[in-house]
Amino acid sequence: MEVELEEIRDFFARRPPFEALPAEWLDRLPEWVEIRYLRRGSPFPPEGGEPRLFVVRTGAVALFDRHGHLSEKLGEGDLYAGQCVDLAVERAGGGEAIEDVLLYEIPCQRIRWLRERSEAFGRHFTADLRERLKQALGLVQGSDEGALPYLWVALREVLHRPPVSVDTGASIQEAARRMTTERVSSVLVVHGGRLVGLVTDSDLRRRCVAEGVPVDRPVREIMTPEPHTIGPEATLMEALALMTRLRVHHLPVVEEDGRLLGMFSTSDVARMQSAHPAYLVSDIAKARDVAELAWICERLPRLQAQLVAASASARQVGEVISCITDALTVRLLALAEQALGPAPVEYVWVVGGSQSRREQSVHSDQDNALILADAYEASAHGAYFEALARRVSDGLQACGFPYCPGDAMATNPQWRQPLSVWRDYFRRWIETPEPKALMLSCIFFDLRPVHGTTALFEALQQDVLARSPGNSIFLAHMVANALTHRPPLGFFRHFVLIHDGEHDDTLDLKHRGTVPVVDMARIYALAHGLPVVGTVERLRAAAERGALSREMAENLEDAFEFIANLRLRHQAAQIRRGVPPDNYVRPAELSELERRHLKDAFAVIQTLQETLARRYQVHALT
Amino acid sequence: MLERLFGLERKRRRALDQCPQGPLRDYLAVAPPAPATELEAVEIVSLDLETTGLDPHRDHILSMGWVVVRGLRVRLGSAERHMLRIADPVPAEAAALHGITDDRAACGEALEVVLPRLLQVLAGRVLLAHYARLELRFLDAACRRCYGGPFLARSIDTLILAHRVLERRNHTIQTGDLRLFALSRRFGLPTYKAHDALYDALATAELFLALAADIAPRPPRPLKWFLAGGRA
Amino acid sequence: MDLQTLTYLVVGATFALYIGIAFWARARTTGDFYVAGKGVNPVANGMATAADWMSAASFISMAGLIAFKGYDASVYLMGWTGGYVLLAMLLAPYLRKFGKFTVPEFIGERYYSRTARIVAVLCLIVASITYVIGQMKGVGVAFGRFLEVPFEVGVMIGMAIVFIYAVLGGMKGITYTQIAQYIVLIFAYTVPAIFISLQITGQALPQVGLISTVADGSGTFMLDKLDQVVTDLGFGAYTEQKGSTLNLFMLTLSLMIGTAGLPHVIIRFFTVPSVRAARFSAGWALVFIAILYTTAPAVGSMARLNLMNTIQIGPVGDPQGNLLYDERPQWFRNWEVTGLLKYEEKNGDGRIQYYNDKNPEFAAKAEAWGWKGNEMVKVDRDIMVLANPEIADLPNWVIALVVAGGLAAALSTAAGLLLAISSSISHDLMKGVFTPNISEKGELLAGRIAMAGAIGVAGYLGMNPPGFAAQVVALAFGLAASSIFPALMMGIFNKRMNRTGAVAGMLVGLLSTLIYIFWFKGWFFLPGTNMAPNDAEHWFLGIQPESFGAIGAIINFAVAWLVSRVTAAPPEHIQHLVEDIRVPKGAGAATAH
Repeated sequence: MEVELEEIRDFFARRPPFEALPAEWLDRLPEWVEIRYLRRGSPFPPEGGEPRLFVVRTGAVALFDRHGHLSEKLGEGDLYAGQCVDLAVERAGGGEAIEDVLLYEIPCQRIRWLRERSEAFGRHFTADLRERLKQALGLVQGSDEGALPYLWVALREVLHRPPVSVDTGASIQEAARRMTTERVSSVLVVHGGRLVGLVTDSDLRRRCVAEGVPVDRPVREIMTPEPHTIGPEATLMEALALMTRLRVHHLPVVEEDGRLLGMFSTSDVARMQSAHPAYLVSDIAKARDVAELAWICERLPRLQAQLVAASASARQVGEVISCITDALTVRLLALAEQALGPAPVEYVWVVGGSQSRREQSVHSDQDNALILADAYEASAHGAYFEALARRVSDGLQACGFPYCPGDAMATNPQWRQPLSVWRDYFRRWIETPEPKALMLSCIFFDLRPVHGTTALFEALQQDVLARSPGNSIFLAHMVANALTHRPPLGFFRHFVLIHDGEHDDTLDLKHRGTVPVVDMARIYALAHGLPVVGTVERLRAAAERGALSREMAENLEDAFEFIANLRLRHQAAQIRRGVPPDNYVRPAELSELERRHLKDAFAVIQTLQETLARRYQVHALT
Repeated sequence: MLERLFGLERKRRRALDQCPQGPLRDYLAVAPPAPATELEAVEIVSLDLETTGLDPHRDHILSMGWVVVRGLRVRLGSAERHMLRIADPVPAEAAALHGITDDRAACGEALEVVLPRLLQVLAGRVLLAHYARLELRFLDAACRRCYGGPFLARSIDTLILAHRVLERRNHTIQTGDLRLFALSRRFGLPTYKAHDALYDALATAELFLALAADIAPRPPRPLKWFLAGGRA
Repeated sequence: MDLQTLTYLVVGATFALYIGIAFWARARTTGDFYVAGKGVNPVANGMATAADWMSAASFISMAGLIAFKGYDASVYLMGWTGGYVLLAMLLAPYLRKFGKFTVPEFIGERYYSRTARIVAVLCLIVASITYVIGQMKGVGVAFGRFLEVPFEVGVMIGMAIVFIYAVLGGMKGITYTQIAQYIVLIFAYTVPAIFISLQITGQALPQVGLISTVADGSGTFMLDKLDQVVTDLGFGAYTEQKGSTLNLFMLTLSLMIGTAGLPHVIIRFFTVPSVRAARFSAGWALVFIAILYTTAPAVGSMARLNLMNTIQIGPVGDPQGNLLYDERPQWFRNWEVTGLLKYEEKNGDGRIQYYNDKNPEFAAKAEAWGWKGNEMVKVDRDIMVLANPEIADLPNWVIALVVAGGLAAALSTAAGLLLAISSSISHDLMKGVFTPNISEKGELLAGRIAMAGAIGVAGYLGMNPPGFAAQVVALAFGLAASSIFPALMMGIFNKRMNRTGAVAGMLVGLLSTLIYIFWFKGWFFLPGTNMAPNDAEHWFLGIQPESFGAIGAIINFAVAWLVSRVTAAPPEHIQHLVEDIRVPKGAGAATAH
């Protein structure tokens, strides 16, 4: 029967993540609640019972890290989800009630049930937890922002190689050979494409060698039949929980229709815990050909979506994706060198645009170039580097990074030149700025070396940074160029919506939001000879130099991240709906608060644009 | 004390022998937890009755609310609230206190329906109430009227426990200090706005958890330390 | 439709056109233009440059000057045209090579001195504000006439509009708007000129009309006729040179070299990609400027002829030969409202006598005719271009068009200058010197306040003008000539020039010129504060204040050279820099590696 416990319900209704629940689930929430009283000094979380989510109703709880230092204090309304999300991370140091505490407890099973039914709740839930998880992981990694909420990543994204399997009829020896050549610690036994068993190293030891079973016996005699499996959408946490409960180290990942996808093992977790996107990167570094790289990259779009779902910021996503693209580029170059032989002269592979600024997303074009040593002779070495560039560029394309529509790639002979030519290019762009040069500058003034003789790049960069700061004609043209993209804010601080027939009543968050900030940050970098390339890093460095007021730098950084996050989430939602992602957001899609923040963000951009316009007297240039 | 407790068990058996078939007999058939049982293992029903007055023979039960405490955790999923139908008009002062008007009282369930449900929930459990005498007397009167037998239960009274705790802390106790609302506040527990049988039962349960932790923070804490006595 | 309404309509329509173009161009990103390979055409860019170049002084005042000063006024034509060529060919390419966007920046870096930079900033602010005065006056004349309010009220309306235009338009200046402005402007200027030329000489081209015979069948040349008309009334012959040759030469020189420092013009040379393209579009700009400048003498002389003929309806000396005041035409009445045209009855005959009563010989003759002095006590020469179509009785829409053209010329130049001023004050002075920690918002606010302040000063001085609008502008040129130009030239061509020399030269040049001007024209142009009468007798070597810029520049050169010889040479890297920017581009690139 339904019992109204409105005051309990209201307590939850005011608090994230529960506030995101639809009324119907919120009404049901109280009936799952259990209330416990902890006297001051009692250990927290209290022992016994099934895993639960704890919400402090009254009193306070202290949590400690593994060294026994206070890591967090929970007060009224705070929740502790350590038992619901993971077994290892939050258990580290335990906790203690530091006041008498009345605790609300909800079984994790119920929380999962809610997360499955309410997407908003799930998102808030993970957002709330991410912060604490970051702290917990920060202790392991010792870095402030390095940790990523990888525990919410779906298994589908974690699988790093196709499944290694043998048929039921295969001999034990064949299975062992297969495991050796593939360098894996377990092999799946299949029959007609369906999973029937699992053989691990320890099975070979215990059930074959120790028992003296001849190695020519069929593998099914020593396999673990009908092993537990898990679906590809399950999160890493869930897999870990299941493995701990079952006391196994391997879980075959199987699609709902029974299709075998791969194997998840505890070593995958260890690999992921070592560093953030490093697990993908190390897979990439081990890949043997482009096909394998392409296979690895297939999960990038979903990885990005998962990161977004786990409330990663645009900045974090950008860093992860750029890091992966870097690794990919390095691996493709290594593969190309294997095939073509060592490079005849020194070179450096540089990247530009969003990859260079580490603001890339999985849909970004590739922008790259080759700087060759001056010993380069087109007649003798031209063919080698052309082939090298072709291989890498095609490889990136195969991995989902489309060719640059402006042909700003190393495959274009114009962007595959010795250092001296590059110096001339930049000298010309800076000394005789013409609009077309400035269009290109967006890509080439953000260069970053990825592989090769970095000194070549550094020589070029020093040259550019020595030239650009004094040249105010060049800078004024850069400002004029940056001002072609203005925030869509009208005279009365209203949104100016697009009316082009195609994207009616929307705001372009990229060209009128993030691009102006990127452009202005670049201007500050060029005007003050700052060698950094990331937009936020540039703004910070400019503020450091006193070129930009600290207040403006901070506001602009916030504005940039806010708009970038909004855009990322908009695109993630589109991908979920099966619509191709774009930059056009309807104000109606946003909450009142978001709209207000967005206006503030646009206003900050506008202020700096006007300041630069006035300072460089751009009215005469446009 | 031992005598009295034994007395309760004896009374239960005798009552069971005399009781006709029906809900009360079913209730009496299940033995309540032994006084030596660890508190964690005891199931407790925190109960609150709203009545039209204090005389169980003249006044009526307007509503009942209860919630089960198991393993020293209040199980909100077990919470129930029942409005009872009464024939007589609700006295003005009771109506003002409980917010129960004639209309609502007239729409409620019959005592004959609710009582069996309560007895079913209470079977094998300990009754918990704030000033439990009142609940025990009203239920006794109701059982006698409906089934011709006495209501017998082990009970815990938070009023008595609170008095004990405050005395031990050497607090001077003034009028009103032992009211449920005042105690909840004193123990830093949530106070509920609604004056309602279920919220009072919930507040009583929470108060009990706090008092129990104060009296005996860790096991052993046998049930008998907390019991109020057999019958009022 | 009456003139008033039509004027509103035409002015409104032209402004709507500018704004419309601004929006149209804004909707396309620069990228769209250039990816499609359609850069701004040098011809179009030339038109835009011409629109920037031609201020209210060119549009409104030059023809007026020519009308009343005759041949002497040709120095303005020569000076400005020469200055433009000097700028385009001699200065801009080097500044560009140096990579400096503004003159103070160049000076600051070349003389490795913040002081030098600040001095340059101050010089330019003074020169720019003076130049804005000319624009304010032009706007005041236009508004005064067409809103039928006194000139002062017209100036105030103009101030408000210029402020709004500069604050809003400051962000919206677009090459295509400038092109539209040029077209409106040149149309407004040449159409009335063609009509008038047809009326007087029967020639459609005003330039041809100027040297043709008049259309009354008498066979006399237009200029001869004009000479005759004006000398009949005791004025100097139109084609005669009146000032001393030295003075005229100095004035021309001042105008020429003064042009070099004006910020809003120099910037235009950096809008095109390469030095080559800059020269090419400068050439086109010269062509478009020439269209107006060559029309100006015709407009001026024909306007003078028309004016004289309107008033002197019969033979000179004939009692019936002068126009009855009561029969004065409508345009006469209209301009009286503004206070820029004043009639004063002196001999009580109710007729208008307009003659040169300063000419003793002719005054005696006039005395005999019963004339008691010149009754046209005020004929502001700036009204000539605007009044011209009315005097010639042209259709109303032509008159309206001229107002629109005048406003376009004044507003675009004023806005460009004001933005340069506010940028100098907010960035160079506030951020650069006085309050380095000013926030970006503060910088913006300071810029707006500076702009409002500059408009206020310029407006006030426009109402109390030291001379014609064109002369006001000449002052600005003089100041720039005496301070900036020498520093620029020596910065480029004299490797030995150092900081101390340049600063000393600039200060002495600027101060001497300013003092000379104030001496004769009143301190800060306040009427009555002048130290000596402003006439040729008191002038030094007969050089008028407007021409003194060239002398100031010579002083500047001399002082700078002397000071630099007795002080230490500039640092090595500066000397290399100077050599580097003088070396042709290709050679520089070839020696770099």
